[in-house]
Amino acid sequence: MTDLTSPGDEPLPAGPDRSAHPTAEQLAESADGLLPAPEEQTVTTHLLSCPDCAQTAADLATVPDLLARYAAPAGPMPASVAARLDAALAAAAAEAPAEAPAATVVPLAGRAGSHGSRRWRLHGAVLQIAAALVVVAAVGALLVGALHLGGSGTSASTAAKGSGADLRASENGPRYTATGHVYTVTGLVADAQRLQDGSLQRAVEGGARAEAAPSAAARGATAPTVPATSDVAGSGTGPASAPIPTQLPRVPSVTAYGLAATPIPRAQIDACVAALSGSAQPPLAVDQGVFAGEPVLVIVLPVTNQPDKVGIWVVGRDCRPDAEQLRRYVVAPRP
Amino acid sequence: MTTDPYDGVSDAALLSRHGSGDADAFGELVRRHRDHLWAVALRTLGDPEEAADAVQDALVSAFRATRGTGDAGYRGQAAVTTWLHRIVVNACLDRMRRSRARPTVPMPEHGAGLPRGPDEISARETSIMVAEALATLPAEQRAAIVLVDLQGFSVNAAAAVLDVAPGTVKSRCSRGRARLLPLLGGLRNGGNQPSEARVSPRGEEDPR
Repeated sequence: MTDLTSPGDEPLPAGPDRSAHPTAEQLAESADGLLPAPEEQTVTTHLLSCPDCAQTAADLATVPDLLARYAAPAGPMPASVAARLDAALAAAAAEAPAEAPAATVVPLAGRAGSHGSRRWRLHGAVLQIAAALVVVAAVGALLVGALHLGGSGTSASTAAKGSGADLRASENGPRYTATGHVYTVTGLVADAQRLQDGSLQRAVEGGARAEAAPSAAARGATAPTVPATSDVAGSGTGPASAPIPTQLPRVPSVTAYGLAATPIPRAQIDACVAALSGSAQPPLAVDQGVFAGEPVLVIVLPVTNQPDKVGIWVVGRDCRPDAEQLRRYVVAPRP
Repeated sequence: MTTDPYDGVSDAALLSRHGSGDADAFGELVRRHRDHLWAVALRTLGDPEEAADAVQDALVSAFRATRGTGDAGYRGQAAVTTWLHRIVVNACLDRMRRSRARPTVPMPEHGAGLPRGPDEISARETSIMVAEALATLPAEQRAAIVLVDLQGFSVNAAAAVLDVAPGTVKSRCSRGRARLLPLLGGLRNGGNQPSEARVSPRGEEDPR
């Protein structure tokens, strides 16, 4: 991409030496491909000969990782806040419904004054949703397309009560599960470690049992190995060893989020792993869960030539190894 | 045997049910997503009270707006999640613009998952450092970085939430990260401090 034979059609601004260096913003935008071509050329050329700026550019690339690593974990909504919210919703529920007919409901028009802001952008979203119901489907379809999700087949999801494919882990092989666990940016490394040692799967298993929800995935837990997940068509709890007691709250299953609960076929997962790892090494753990509100595959792979490290991939269910589907890739110490 | 009546029901279906008069459907929708929405609000606004107010305002408005809309025939899981995040983020941005005050720095909740052990104090300090750094960002950059770098949204998904073009999200993230770099320098191993002369932005236009 760097054309060494025509270094910088645009001359660097003249002046004191300091102004000849790109700003941190320019370096960041250059790295993200946001600069117009001549400016990009200038920056790229400058970086070749300026180790300080090259260092800054390298440092910039670490900022997202620093944020993820050092930001406080989000934690659940505090109980007091949730209680207040529930009370507010209950109060709203007790109100008389809006008088306007459904097709032309614009309830916030009258509330703009009370909120004191004309820029309350909920108007736009409300109008999209409430005013023209036909538009809703189009908007939804557009957003679905933009977010690279296929049809979620939500009406079919109720049929797939037991989440999890027939992904029986071999005795000492990698663990394949569909816990529906909600992964977070700040908790990803810890969760991946728990995937590798099996504790996350066991915790989900225990939580599902504690809820005694009949539609929880019917997974029989055997003590030392990964819980085997049942077929979609199959049903019935496997031979139940004593339920593993857990204090953890119930983790919503993939079906509880109404996500397309059709489990990803093993062959597709294998193809995905192969595409990501580029080697024949089997994954250390594979789980189907939720990340940023969408269904994902979490794949833990060994890192070539770094036996003390693992690579943690979070990809969309389609597992296309392009930038949009690849949500996150983190290298972490092997537990 | 307890049965979760909403297990297997998609978010879109919940919203439809709410529109059709199901009294509990919206509450279930909130229960599913409130942790994420709380995280976004808290990280964007900084102050837990502000965040609680923003989330509450947003969700109560959404409740009212979609009640009585009938069976909307929502399509796609992503649309509802995006919509919920959008209204919460908008509520946060609205508050930030109205108050014009710099977001306050949150104190990490006690026992809220910080690592224990000898590094506990330093973990608290570093999380405060991150929060303080984020608080210096203009509202739009902060929202973009919270969504993309802290909540794991893809650029396109964040763009859908913020209702801007993906390029705008990228630009806000780039500029935000450039601003954060000097503030987070102390967190990097090896202590390679960026030279002040290079890093201070110059000739800044208004943040977009």
